[in-house]
Amino acid sequence: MDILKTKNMTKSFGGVVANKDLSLTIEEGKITAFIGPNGSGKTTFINVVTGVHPITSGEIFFQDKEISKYESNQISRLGIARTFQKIRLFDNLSVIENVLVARKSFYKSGPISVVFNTKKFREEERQNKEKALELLDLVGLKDKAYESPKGMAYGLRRCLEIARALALEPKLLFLDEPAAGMTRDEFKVIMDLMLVLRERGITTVLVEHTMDFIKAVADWVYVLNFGEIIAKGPFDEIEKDPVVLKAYLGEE
Amino acid sequence: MKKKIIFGLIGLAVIFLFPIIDNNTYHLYLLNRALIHAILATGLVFLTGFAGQISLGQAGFYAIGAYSSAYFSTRLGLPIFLGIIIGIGISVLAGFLLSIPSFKLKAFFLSLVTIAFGQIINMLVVNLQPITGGPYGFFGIPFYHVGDYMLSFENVFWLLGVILLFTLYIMYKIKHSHYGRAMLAMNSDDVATETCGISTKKLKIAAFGFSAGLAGLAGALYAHLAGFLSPEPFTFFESSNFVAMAVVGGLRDMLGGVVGGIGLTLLPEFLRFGGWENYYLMVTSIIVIVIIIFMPKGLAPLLGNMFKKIFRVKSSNTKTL
Ligand SMILES: Nc1ncnc2c1ncn2[C@@H]1O[C@H](COP(=O)(O)OP(=O)(O)OP(=O)(O)O)[C@@H](O)[C@H]1O
Ligand SMILES: [Mg+2]
Repeated sequence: MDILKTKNMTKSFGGVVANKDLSLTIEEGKITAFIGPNGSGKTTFINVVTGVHPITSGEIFFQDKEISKYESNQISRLGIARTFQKIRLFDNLSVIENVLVARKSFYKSGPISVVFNTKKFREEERQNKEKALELLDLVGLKDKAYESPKGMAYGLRRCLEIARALALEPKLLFLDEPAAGMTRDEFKVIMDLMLVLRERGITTVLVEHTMDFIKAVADWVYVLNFGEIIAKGPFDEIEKDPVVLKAYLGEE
Repeated sequence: MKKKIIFGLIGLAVIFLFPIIDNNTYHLYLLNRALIHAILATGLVFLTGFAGQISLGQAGFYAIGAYSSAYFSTRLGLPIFLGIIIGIGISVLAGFLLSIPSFKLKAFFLSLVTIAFGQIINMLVVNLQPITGGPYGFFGIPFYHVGDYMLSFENVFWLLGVILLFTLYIMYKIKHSHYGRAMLAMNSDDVATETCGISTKKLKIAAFGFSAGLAGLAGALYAHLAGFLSPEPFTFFESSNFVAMAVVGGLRDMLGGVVGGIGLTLLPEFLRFGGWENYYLMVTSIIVIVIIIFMPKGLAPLLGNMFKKIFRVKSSNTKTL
């Protein structure tokens, strides 16, 4: 089963074609990796699918539903979550509040219930806080729930961003270079987490430069170069593909 | 915790007893204006400090609330209460409308649009003479009354105080809910907020609507206090004054609008009667500039800390006893 499918998906920024006629599928329940040299269009692919950048032409289907024209918030509510290559947290909120922001669409209480502090609202608040703490526990941040994420270590901030993405209860999760700038130990935490998520049935799309990481977790790999797919397959095959080696090493 | 509540109650009691201690009519009129400004500036704290949006056209909503309530109660003979509700309603609708440019525009460009909005409303006030009275003014707006009983300035002070407290309560509850968290998130990063499944458009519509509603409420309350309206208080100068109130009080503080609204309404008057009658407006502006530069978080957090310190000294004393 394919959870996501793109048809001739193209994205250009002025003259730069960052994604060119991409037609590909993401298989449900698997970890799919995107690799490719700097500027090859990996982040752009995530940005277009999650509605952060509008598509230039082509179509995107999520569970057979066309989402090419959807707003970012609608796409997120369908169950597509993401993290950012350059971490984007809400530094004016506490750690747990960051996660709770992504729980907003699970609340049914309107403003009137909030102002009158109804039992229903208090119960919803309690349930969502519990859920948020559960996710913080999963990424090892439970003891920092009420602190500010502002001065926290890079690896912890990355984990918080992942917890926030998971708060959407996503079916499909995009991680844009989750291990970049991480220490070995932090790296291991993320890797283990990805395997746990796969067990829970969450489909993950991973953009990474660290080949050890890809080798360890990816079920399928797409290789991008200048916005186009130049190779695809399991990592062991990709690893030896002369086209891929050429793209990474230059003309030699 | 209990002590805090008792402290708060004593503070409130002192404030509410004030009109009985000092019943100079002019002082009371000023205090009432100050409370009205506090309500309006609280709306700006919500819009700018919480939701991260800008409005330099708040006097437009203030005018819409004032003239609507004046028109419906004076010309059409509706009860004041209904006039005020209609004034709020029309302001909220105008606020929804003004939120549309904020979908695409930020900071500088958004402020230009809101200034233009304020100017348009001001032009309407001047030119729609049959409704607003234009430059000649709108006369005979009924003062606050219940049946045949005319409220005194003291009564109005208490009424406005209760409305202000109610406003703050609503804002407090919203801030500490999923809506408030979403607003603060949007203030920090709207792309990330969208990817959390939140429509920032809807949030902006709500934030502009809420702050416009409070400005409209303030305008309507002013109309029935003054009894007379002319275009002067509804200019760009007033809009920037309102923003100054919110900033001086503290944009990120629940009580910023209250501190700034009351402070900047009373300060010029203190200066005027304190021997600065020739320069009081200039000195007020200088004080505003100094506060903005040296206390960018505003006065409210400062007062809050002072209060906490005094309170802590007291409680530690009782412990040693
Ligand atoms: N918002 C933007 N505006 C203009 N050009 C952009 C924008 N985002 C990406 N690009 C361009 O699109 C191309 C692809 O960029 P993208 O960020 O998708 O690459 P990437 O594969 O993620 O690279 P990296 O490995 O360095 O993260 C680049 O040429 C980049 O300059
Ligand atoms: Mg990238």
